[in-house]
Amino acid sequence: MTRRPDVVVAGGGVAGVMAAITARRHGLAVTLVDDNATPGGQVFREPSAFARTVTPPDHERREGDRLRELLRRSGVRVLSGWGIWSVQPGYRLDLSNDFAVQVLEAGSLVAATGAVERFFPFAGWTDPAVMGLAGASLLMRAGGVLPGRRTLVAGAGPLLFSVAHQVLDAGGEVVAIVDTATRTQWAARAATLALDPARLKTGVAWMARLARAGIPVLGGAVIRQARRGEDDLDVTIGSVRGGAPVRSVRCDAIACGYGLKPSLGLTRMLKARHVFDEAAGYWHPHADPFGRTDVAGLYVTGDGAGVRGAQMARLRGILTGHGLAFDHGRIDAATLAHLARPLLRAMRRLEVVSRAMTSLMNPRPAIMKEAEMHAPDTLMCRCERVSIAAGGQAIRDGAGDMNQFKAWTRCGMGPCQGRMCEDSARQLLARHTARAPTEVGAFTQRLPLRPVPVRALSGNFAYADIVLPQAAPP
Amino acid sequence: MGIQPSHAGRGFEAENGKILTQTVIFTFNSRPFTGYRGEILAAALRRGGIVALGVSAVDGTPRGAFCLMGSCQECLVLVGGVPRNACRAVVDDGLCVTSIAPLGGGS
Repeated sequence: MTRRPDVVVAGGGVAGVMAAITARRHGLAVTLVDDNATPGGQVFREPSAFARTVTPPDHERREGDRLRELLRRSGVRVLSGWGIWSVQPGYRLDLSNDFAVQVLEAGSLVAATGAVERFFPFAGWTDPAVMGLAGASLLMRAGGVLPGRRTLVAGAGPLLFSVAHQVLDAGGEVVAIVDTATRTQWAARAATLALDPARLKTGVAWMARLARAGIPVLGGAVIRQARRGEDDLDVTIGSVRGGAPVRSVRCDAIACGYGLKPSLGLTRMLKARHVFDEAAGYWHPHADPFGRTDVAGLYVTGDGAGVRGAQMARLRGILTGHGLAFDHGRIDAATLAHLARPLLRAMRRLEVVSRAMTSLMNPRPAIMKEAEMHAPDTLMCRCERVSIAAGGQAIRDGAGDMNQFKAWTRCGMGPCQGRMCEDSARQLLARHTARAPTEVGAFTQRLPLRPVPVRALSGNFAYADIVLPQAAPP
Repeated sequence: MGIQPSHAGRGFEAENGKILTQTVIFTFNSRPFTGYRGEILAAALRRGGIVALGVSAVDGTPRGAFCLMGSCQECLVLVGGVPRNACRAVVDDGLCVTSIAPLGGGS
């Protein structure tokens, strides 16, 4: 029997790993729970042995391997392949994998659950050849497989160009890049990007490569429709401002996504205070620089506290580790201040650039409006098959906030737990009711946080094992 | 040459150009596929030309791996009879993978 740890860290990305290692260095007993097979999160996902041989080792791989090695030697207890499906204050965590369940208790809980990709619907987006930008990146970097022979890259934010670059790197073809942001909007951020020369250099190199390869970059554009043909997709592209289609292309894979948003399951379940970031277009838990939320013993670190990218996540993780040490009486205030100072300074430098990128990913209401106008039958809820038109009707019938909308339409009640549709539901509601996104609320988080097999819950028992009360004498 | 990176055979992090992982055989809906031990199922199947992994439980339309990070749940398949996400389950020798039938039966 292992003793109850001081801290449980949920999530094995760079922030979670750094928080765990740092807290451990201060002498705390730390358990890290991660639902991936090996630590690293999404950015530093461990490549398969096959992927290691077919894709060149890059910064992410080297950093990821270093992170995994640090963790291995840290004394942190690591539970890989386990996800949290329920949480109670105090803290009691119910974990599951595909086969079993277990319970974990700790005084402090760090939500380091990172970010998930944000999506908006277009006609044909449930086709199996359509996947997320982050998903396409994971497939290439961790799996060593291209999304398709000819890939269309669509959506918003820097990930568009990163994915296109990865496709080219692996010898694939990029048909086009469809970006909701215009060139003017990118240019407006160029000055800010110059504050981070490394990132600017990478960005410029990517753009130059796309130009050399003659890959069209369509700004201010969205996919209007992807229609399945014999063995590929026929894609119509329109302007975000409406009007006639601007182009039509054929491809056999689409990688799409509208930036990242914090993963909020744990903090929502524990009723931490959340605030809406207008510039980024998402909710995030309210936290101080150490990740302390308004709930005692609950911390949030990394992209889960607001998407800022891997560099920032590392610093936030270390800060949270120091904060935990202070809160558990391992270091005094002066030591904490001394340890925090250089980290906070580095974070202030990164913040400006990270914020500029975040705002480029902010989905504009025009995207949903476009979809509603051109393809009202498009499913906004992929799990429960709720069309945009059905959503609009529910709002006209009186569904006034996110939870009424959910109850009315079943949008958000499927296996994804609303992760895929919450953003489109919020935009639809806000626009139809002419209110701010904050005013329409958010889906109430329900258990389980992730699907848990009944088999895992019930375990192995025979019918005869069920204890039946003795029947009363006649 | 399809969706295998053109780097294949260059042998990054390989010894004498040899891939340091074992090729294994598994089945998907009774069809045999080759994969590399330890890689995620979704990657091995896509390399084998499989894009649709199953159908929507609600309307029966084909669905595939969408988010690849365990969030969308659309790549759920039966691995040895156990429902698992193809973006999480890893390939092993003799693995028997099948699509999940839509609700209310069907083929």
